[in-house]
Amino acid sequence: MKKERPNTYSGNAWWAARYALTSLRNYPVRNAGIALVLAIGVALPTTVFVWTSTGTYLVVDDYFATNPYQFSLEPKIGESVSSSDLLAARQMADASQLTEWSDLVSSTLGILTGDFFPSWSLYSPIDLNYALGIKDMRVILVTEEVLGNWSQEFDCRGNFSLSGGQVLVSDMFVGYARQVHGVDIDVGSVIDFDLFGQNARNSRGNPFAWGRVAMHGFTVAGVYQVRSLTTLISQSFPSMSRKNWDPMSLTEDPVLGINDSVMILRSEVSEDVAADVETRSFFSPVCLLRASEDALLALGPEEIGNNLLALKTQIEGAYTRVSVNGLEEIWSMDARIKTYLQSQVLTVIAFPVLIMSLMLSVFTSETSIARRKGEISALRSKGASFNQVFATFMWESLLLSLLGLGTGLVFSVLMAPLMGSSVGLFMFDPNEYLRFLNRVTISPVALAIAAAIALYLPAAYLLHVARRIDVSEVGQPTVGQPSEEAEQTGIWRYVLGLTTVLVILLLMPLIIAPRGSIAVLEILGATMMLFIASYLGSRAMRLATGRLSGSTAFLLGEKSLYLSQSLRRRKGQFIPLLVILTLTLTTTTMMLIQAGSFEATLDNELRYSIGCDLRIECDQRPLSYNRTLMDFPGVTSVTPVLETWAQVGAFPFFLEGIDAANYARIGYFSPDSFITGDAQSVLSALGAREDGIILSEYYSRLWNETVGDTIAVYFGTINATRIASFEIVGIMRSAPGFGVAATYDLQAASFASQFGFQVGQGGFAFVNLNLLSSLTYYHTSDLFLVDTACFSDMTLVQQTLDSERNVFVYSPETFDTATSYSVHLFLSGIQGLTVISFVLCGGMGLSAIGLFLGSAVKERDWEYAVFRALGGTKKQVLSMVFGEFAGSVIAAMCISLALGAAFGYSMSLLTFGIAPFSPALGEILAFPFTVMLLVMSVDAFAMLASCYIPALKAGAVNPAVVLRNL
Amino acid sequence: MPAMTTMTSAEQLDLFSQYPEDVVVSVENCYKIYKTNELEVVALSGVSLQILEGKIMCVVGPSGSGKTTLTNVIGGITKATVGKVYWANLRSDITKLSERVLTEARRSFIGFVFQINNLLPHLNAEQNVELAARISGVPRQVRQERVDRLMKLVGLEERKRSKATTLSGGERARVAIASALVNLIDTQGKGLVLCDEPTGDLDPETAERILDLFQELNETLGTSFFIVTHSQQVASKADITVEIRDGIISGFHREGIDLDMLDNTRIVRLDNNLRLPMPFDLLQLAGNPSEFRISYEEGRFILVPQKGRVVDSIRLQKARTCRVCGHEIPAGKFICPNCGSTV
Repeated sequence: MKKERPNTYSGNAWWAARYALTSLRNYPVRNAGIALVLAIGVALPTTVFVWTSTGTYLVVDDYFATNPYQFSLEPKIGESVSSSDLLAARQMADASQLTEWSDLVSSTLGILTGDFFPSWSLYSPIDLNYALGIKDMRVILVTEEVLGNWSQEFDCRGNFSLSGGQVLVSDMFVGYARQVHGVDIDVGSVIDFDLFGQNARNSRGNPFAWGRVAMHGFTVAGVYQVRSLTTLISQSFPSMSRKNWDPMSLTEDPVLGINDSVMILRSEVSEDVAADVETRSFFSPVCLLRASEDALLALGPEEIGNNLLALKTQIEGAYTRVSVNGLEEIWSMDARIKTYLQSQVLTVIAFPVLIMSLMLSVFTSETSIARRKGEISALRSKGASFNQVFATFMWESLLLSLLGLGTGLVFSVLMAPLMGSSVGLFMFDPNEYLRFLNRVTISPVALAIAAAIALYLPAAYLLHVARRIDVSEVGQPTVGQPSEEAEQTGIWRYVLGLTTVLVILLLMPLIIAPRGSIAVLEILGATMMLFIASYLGSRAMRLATGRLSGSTAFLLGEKSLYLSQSLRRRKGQFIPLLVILTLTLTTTTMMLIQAGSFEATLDNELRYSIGCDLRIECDQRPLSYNRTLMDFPGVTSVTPVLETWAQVGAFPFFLEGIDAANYARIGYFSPDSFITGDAQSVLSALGAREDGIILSEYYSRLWNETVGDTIAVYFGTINATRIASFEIVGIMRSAPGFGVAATYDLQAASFASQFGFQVGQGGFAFVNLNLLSSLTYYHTSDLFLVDTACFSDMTLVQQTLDSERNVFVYSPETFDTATSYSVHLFLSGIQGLTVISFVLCGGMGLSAIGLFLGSAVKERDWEYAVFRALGGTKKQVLSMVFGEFAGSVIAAMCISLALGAAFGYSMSLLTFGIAPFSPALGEILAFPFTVMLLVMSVDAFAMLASCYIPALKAGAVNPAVVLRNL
Repeated sequence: MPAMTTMTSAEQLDLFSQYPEDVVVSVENCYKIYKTNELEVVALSGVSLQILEGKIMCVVGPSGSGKTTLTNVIGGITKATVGKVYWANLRSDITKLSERVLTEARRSFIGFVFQINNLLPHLNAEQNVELAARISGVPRQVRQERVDRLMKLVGLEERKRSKATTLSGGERARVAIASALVNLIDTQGKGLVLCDEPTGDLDPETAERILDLFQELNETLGTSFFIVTHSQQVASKADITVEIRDGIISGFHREGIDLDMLDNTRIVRLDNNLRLPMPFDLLQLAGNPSEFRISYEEGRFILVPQKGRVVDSIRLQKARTCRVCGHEIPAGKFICPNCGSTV
C-alpha cells in the first residue's frame, strides 16, 4: 500500500509572540496597570540599593575632591633620597593600577635678600636668624600641574599659578619678612632671594657651603595660606619650632614649613640645581600620590580603604627606608560607606509594599487569564496548540516584565535621590536631590534584584498562572461572565480572626525582644500578619458596609437595596481590591508612625545625651570656672565634671566627679536612670556620703555588690595611680550627659556615642567632685553642665561662649543631628523611604482601583444597561456605581486607620531592632496625627476621585449596544 | 528504530484499510468516562458511527446525552477513554497520537463552529477568519487568497473590516463558518466541520440562510458537516441524523426526518458486542419493561415485554422446620421463633 504523507500544518512559531503583542495593545489599561504594579515592586528595593550605591559613590567623590593626594612617600628620618630608594618606591607606586599620578616635590632652604637688607655670610636654620637680620624660608620647586592639584587646599590673594619670573609667597612669610626687614611684600612686589642647592655640613655654613643660587627679580604673583594644617600637603612640608629673636624666650615660632615658604617653578633653576635640590638639599623631597578613583571604585567602594592600605603595606614592605604617610581621611570615608551599606537593611521595611505589588500583579494576571477562557477556547478551536496558547501568555508576561523592569528602574533612579536628599518627612533639599540625580549609580546587585523581581511575573506564569489555561474545552463564550450570587456569610469569624492576629502582633515584640536577625524575622512575620489582617479586615468591613448600606435606606433611598447586595457580591474582585487598598493605606500609616517614632526617639536620646540645658566642652579650665558661668544672667546651677580612668580588677571604667546636688537640679533625668531610687534621692545619698559612689547596674551585678557595700577602686591621678575605697550609694543604668552607665549593656552603638557624648571604655561611675579632686590633684575640668532659667537665657550664654576660642556649647535645641553622619543617614533613609512608600502605595492603590473597578464595570455593563433600560438616567447609574465603589474605599480606609495604628506600633519597635543604634532610654512611639490625617486625606481624595472614572464609564453604558450583544 | 516505525505505520494503515475511501471520520466503540473527585460519569458508552465525505450528519438528543462530548472526541479535543477514532487524513487511530501531532493534523482537517461563534471581539471579521490560518502558519499570500474567497462565499465582502461586536447574529455565524473553513478549503473534500448548535440563537429566517450556506459549501467544497442540534430545521437538512441518549446511539434516521415522529424513521444497529439499543420513547410507551421475550417469526423479530423479572421467580425462598422443636421457621429467617435455635 502506498503510504501518503498526511497534509498537516506544523504551526507558526512566531504567531504566539505576534499575538501577545496584539493582545498587549488591545488591553492597554489592564497591561499598563500590571506593568505599573510590577514596576512598583521592582522600584522599592532597587531604590534602597541605588540610594546606597549612589551615596557611596558620592562619599568617594567627595573624598577624592577634597583630598588631592592619598599618600606621601618620603625618606625616613636619617635617610636620603638615594639611601631610601625613594625614586624606586615612586616607580613601584606609579606602576600600581591604583595610582592615578604622583608628584615629586622638592624643597630647599632660601634666604630673602635685597639691596637694603644686610648680607649674610654664615647661616644655620636653627640659629636666631631673625635677630641676625636673616629672613629664611622654605623654597618649594613646583610645576604648573602641581599648583593645579594644590589649588583647592590654599586660600590665595592674587593668582595661585606661576609663570617665568614669578613667585608665590606664604602669608606667614610676608609677616615674618615685615618683622625682620620692615618690608611689605604683596602681590606685584619684586623680591630677590638666595636658594640653597645643597645642605651644608652640619647644616651650618657660608653661601658656598650651602650651594647658594641667587634668584633675582621675582614678582609676587600671589600670597597664599594653607586652609588646613591637617592635610597631607601641609604635613608633607612641616614647620620646625625655633626661637627667632630671644634665646631666653619661652616660646618658639613655627618656621620653614609650608606656611613660611615661597614657591617657584622648577624650571626657574637649572636642571643641575633642581637635581641637587632633589637629592642634596636640607629637606628631603616628597612624593605625593593620587589614587585612581575609577580603579578603586571598580574594585568595590567598600574595599577602597583596604585596597589602599594594601598598597601602602606593599610599598612599606618593599622599601623599608621609605616612610609612607596618609590614609587618615580614608577611614572616615570608609565608615560612611559602611553606614550606607548597613542602611541597606532598610529594605525590609519596604517588604510589605514589595510583596503587595507582586501579589497584585500575579492576581491581576490570573484574573485576566480566567476571564480570557473564551479567548483560549476560540484559539484552540482555530487550531492553536497548548504550547502556542501557553507561549502567548508567556510572551505577554515576558513583555510585561520587561516593561515593569524598565519602568521600575526609572522610578528607582528618580526616587533614590529623594532618600538622599530627605531632610524631614516630606521635606527635601532640591540641590542635594540634583547632586544625587547627577551621580545616580545602579549597582549590579540592584540590577540583579530588579531583574529577579521582574522575572517573578513570567516565573509565576510558568509555575502557576499558566496552569489556569484551560485548553480541554472549546466553545466557551468570548465575552460576558456569569453573574455571582451575593455572599451570605457571617462577619464574626473574620472579626475573631482579625482580633487574634492583632493580639499576636502586639505581643510579639514584647515577648521576643527584637534584636538583629531576630528583628528581621519578626518584621517578616509582622509583614505576613499585615497581609492576613488586611484580608480579614477587608472581608469584615465589606460585610459591615453591606449591612450598613442595607440599614440606611432612609439615607440612601433605593440605592441601599443595590448597594447592600452588591457589596456582598463579586468577592473575587472586591475582596482583593479591598485588601490592596487596606494594605496600601495601612502601610502608609504604619511607615508614618515608624518614621515619626524614630525621629521622636532620636530627639529624646539627643536630649538625654546632652543631658542638661547647656553642655560646655572646653580646654582645661579651673573648677572655679563654674563661678564665671554662674555670673551669666539666668544660669541657675553649674557642675564641673572631673573625669579620670579607673579600674576594679580587670574591668576599666571612668570615675566622673560631679557636684551631686547641682547635677540633680541640672540633669534631664529619666525614671529609668537610677534603679535604686529616683534621681533626687540617689544623688542626695551621694552628696551626703563623701566617699560614696554610684555604680552601673552591670558592674553591680557582675561584682555582686549592692548599696552599702564597699569597693576598692584603682584610679589615675595627675601623676600616679592610687587606690581608694568607695561605698556604693546607688545603682544606675544611665545618666543624662554621660550615656549608658556600662557600655557592655549596649546592643549596638548608642545614640549618645553617635553624637559624641557617650562615656566609653566600660562606662562610668559617679563620685563626689571634691573628693575626686583632692584624691587626684586635678583642679581643672573640660566639661561643665549648666542649668538655665529659661530658653532666652540659654541662648544668651550660648551666643556669648560660642565666640570664645576652644569652647563648644551644646544644647538639645540647637544641636544639629546631621553632625552624626550615621544617625542622619538612617533617619533620612527612613523618612525618604516613607515618602517613597507613600507615593508608591498611592500609585498601587490607584492602579488597583483602575484595574479592578475598570474590569468590574466592563463585566457588569449588562447590569447598568438593564438599569438604563428600566428607565434609570445616566446620573442615577453614575451615582449608584460611585456610591458602591466609594463605599469600598471608605471601608478600606476605616479598617486601615485601625490596622495602621496597630502595625505602626509593632513595626516601630521592630525597626529599632534593625537600626544600627541602641537607645539608652527605650523607644518613643510617636503618632504624628496631623501628618497622618493629611496623608490619608490626600490618599482618600485621590482614591475617591479615581472611583469616579469607572463610575462615569458605567453611566455611559449604551443599553442598546450592550443588550444586543448579550 | 526506523524499521520498527515503518512497521507500526504499516500495521496501522492495514488496520484501517477496511474503511471505504469516502469515510472521513469513523468512531469505533468509544467510551468516555469523566472522573470528578470520587464520581465517575459515563458520557459515551460504546458509540460507533462513520461520517462520510461530503455529507451532513446531524446529532440530536436531550441535554447531557453526550452530544458535545462526542463532538470533542471526533475533533480530537478530548480523547476517548476506550475505543478508536479514525481520521481519514491521517489514516490512523487518533487516540494513540500525541497532542502535538493531533493539533497539527487537526488544523487542516477539522473546523469548529459554535452557537456563541467564538469570534475574538478585538479582531474584525477578516482577521477572525484569517486567525486560524495564521496560527497554522499558512503563507501570507495563500492566506489572503483563502480569506478573500471565503468572505465572498459567505457573502461578507462588504463587512470584512467590521469588528466582531458590531456584526449581526447571522453575520457572526457566517464569519464563524468561514473561519472554520479557512484551513479546509484546499483539502479537496477531506475536511470536517464540527458544529455545535450553529443556529441556536438565530431567528428561523437567518437560520435557514445559514443552513442553505452549509448545503452550498457542502456542494461547492465537498466538506462534510457534523452538526449537533435541537432544531428540526437543521435536522431536516441532514443526510443522516444520529439519535443519542445517555451516551448511547439509540438510532439512525435517513434524510427528511421529523423530530416529533422519530419512532417512525428510526433504524437501530447492533453494536460490536451484538447489543441493540432500545429507543427510549418506545420503552416509555410499553411501561418501561426491563425484560422481553424475543422470537423471530416470518422475517420479523418479535419482542414481548415481560411482567416481573426472571431472577425474582427463581429467588423464591422456602420455609424450613426446626430440628429441635419441629416448629416452622419462616422463609428468610435463620432462628427458630419458638425455641430460639439457630439453623
